[in-house]
Amino acid sequence: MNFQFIRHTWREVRRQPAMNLVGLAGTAFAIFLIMVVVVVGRVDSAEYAPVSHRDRMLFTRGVDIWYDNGTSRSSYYSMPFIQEIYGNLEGAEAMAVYGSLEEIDIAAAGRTAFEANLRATDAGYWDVFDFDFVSGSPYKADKVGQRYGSSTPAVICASVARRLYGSEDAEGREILLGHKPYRVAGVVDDVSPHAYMAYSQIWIPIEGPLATAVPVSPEDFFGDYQVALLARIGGDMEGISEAVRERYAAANRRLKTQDASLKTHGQPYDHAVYLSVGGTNSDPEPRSERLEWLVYAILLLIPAINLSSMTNSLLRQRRMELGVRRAFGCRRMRVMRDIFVENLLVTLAGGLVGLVSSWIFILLFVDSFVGIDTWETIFADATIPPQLLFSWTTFGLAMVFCFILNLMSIGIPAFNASRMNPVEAISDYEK
Amino acid sequence: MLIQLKEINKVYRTREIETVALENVNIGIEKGEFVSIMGPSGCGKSTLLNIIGLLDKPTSGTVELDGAITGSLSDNELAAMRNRKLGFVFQSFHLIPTLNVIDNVELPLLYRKGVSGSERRRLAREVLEKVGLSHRMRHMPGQLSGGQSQRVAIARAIVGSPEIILADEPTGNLDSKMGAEVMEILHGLNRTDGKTIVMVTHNEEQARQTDRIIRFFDGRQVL
Repeated sequence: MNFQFIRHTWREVRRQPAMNLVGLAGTAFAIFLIMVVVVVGRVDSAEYAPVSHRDRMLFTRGVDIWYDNGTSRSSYYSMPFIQEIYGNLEGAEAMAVYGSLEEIDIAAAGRTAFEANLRATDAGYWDVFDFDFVSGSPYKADKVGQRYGSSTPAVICASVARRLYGSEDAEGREILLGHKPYRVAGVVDDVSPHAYMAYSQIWIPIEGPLATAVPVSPEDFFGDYQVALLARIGGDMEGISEAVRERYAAANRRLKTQDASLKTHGQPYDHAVYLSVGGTNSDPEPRSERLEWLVYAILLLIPAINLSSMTNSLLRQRRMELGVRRAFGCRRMRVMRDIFVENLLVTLAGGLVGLVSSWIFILLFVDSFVGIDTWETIFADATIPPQLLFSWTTFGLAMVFCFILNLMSIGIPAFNASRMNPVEAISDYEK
Repeated sequence: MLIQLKEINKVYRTREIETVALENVNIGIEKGEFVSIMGPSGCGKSTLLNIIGLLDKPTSGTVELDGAITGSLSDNELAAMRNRKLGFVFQSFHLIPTLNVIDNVELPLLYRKGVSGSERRRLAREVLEKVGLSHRMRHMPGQLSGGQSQRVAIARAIVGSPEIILADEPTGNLDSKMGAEVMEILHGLNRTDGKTIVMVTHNEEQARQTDRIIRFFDGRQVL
C-alpha cells in the first residue's frame, strides 16, 4: 500500500479545501441520487433471504382458458393441474405451491387477538424460499393435503411471536387462527412484503383433498394456488420452461374436446418477466432495461461534466508539479494513472458519504412510500428490506458507480494533464 | 563526449510570428565537465537546457546523450532516459508542496522500475545527509528556507545517480551566502562524484569557477 499516495492526496485536498469540498459534495450527491434510484428500483427484484435464489426461480400467474363461444375465464391453479404441469419436472430442485394472502385473527392464551397475514403453503415452499429460522423448523409433509388433526403446525414470524408472547420464544406453543388451534412449529425472521411470494406473517400447511386425477373439465383447472419452481444450481431454466410448455400442449389437446383452450402467456416466468405480468390473463410486458441504464447514465453524466471542469481547474493549479514529475521521468500513462487513483480516493470518500446519505434518506423518507402492487391487505410495514439496503451488492454497486463517475469526470482532465508540455508547465510557474 | 549537440536550431512559430530561439548551436560536453551557460535574458539559455534535458525538441539538429541519438526516441524512452541519466535543479526549486522533504527527494525513484520502497527511503536519506538536511526529512517545503529548498532540490536531482545535472539558475532566488552554499554542493558533486553539470547562470563569478563558459547572444553561441 502506497501511503505516500494517500498522504499526498489528503494534502492536495487540504490545499484547495473549498473546491475539493464542493467536488466531494457533488460526488456524494451523485452517488446519493443514483443509490436511491437503484435501491428503490431493485426493491422488488433484489436477492435476499428468503428470496436469495431469484436467479434460478420460475414463477407462475395462473390459468387462462378461452372457450370457443368467445368467453374466457382466468384464475389461479387447481392442485391437480399444478401436479400435472409442474410436478416432478426434470431440472427442478423444488416446487412451492402457495395460496393467496389472507387476513386472519391470531390469538394466544390470555392475549388479545389481532389481525395478521396468513398464507397456506405446501412443504416444498420451505425448500424454494430460504427463510431464516429463529427457532424451530418448517412443517414437513410427504404430500400436499395431509391432515394434521388437532396439532396442525404453523410457522409465524418473529414480530408476531413478540406481539403474542413478548419474546420470540414461541416454538411448541398453541395459537388460535380464527378459532382453530395450531401448534407453532417454527419462528422465522420477518419477511419484507417486497419479497411478495415469500411474504406473510403466518404460514400454515395446505389442507384439503389430494390431487389424484388429471383435470378434464375446464373447471378442474382452476383453484386457489400459485407455483414457484427452484431450478437446480446451473440447471437448465429454458429446459424446464420447454417441458412445461409441452405439458401445457398435452392439457390443451384434452381441453379441445371440451371446446376450450389454454393460453400459457409464456409461463413459467423468470422473476424479471414475472414482475411485468399484470394478472392471470395478461401477457408479459417487459420493462425497458435500456431506459433504466439511460437514467443511471444521465445521473452520472451530469455531475461528471461538472466535476470534470472542476478537476480540470484543480489540475491547472498543479501544472508545476506535473511538469516536474514529467521532467524526472514520469511517463504520460503514469501521470494519468496517478491522477486517476488520487481522484478515485476522493471519489470513494464522496461515494461513501453519498451511500450513507442515501441509506438515511431512504429509511427516513422513502421507505414507507415504496408500495406493494397488490389488492390484498398487508399488515407488515412495506419497508425496504434492510438486507437490500445494507447488502454487499448495494455497497459494491455504489463503488462501481463511484469508479465510473471517477472515470467520466477525470478522463479528459487526466488526458490533458498527461499531454501537458513540461517546459511550459515549469516555465509558467517561473513567470 | 557525453553530451553532443549538432547544428541545433529551435524556432517558435505562431500564425504571425516566427521567433528564432537557437541558431546553429554546436556544443560538446565531456563526462565530468562543469559547464556554465551565460547570456542575457531571452538569448536561448533555458531553451538549450531544456533541449539537453530532453524536455523540448529542437526544430532541427541532433542531440546525442551518452552515445544515444535522442531524436528518434519515443516519449516513453525519453522519459526513461531523463529518469536514468538526468537530474534537474530549477531556479524556483519546484518542490512539490504537498510532499514532505523525503517524499520530494524520492520522486525520481518512483518512476524507476525495481526500486523498492525501503530502497527509495535509504537512497533518499543518503542524499539528504549529503546535502546536510537529514534533520529536515519530515518537513514540508513551506517550512524550509530558500537555501534549504534548493539543497532538497539538489538531493532530488542526484538521488537516482544520474550522470548529468542540469541546473537552471540554481542560485537565482538565493542570497549570496546561500548561493555560495549551493555552489559548493554542486562543485562537490562534480569533483567528488564526477557528475557532469551544465548550469545556466547570470552570475559571472560563479561561472568563472566552472570548467568552461559557453556564452549566448540572440540564440547564437558566441566565443
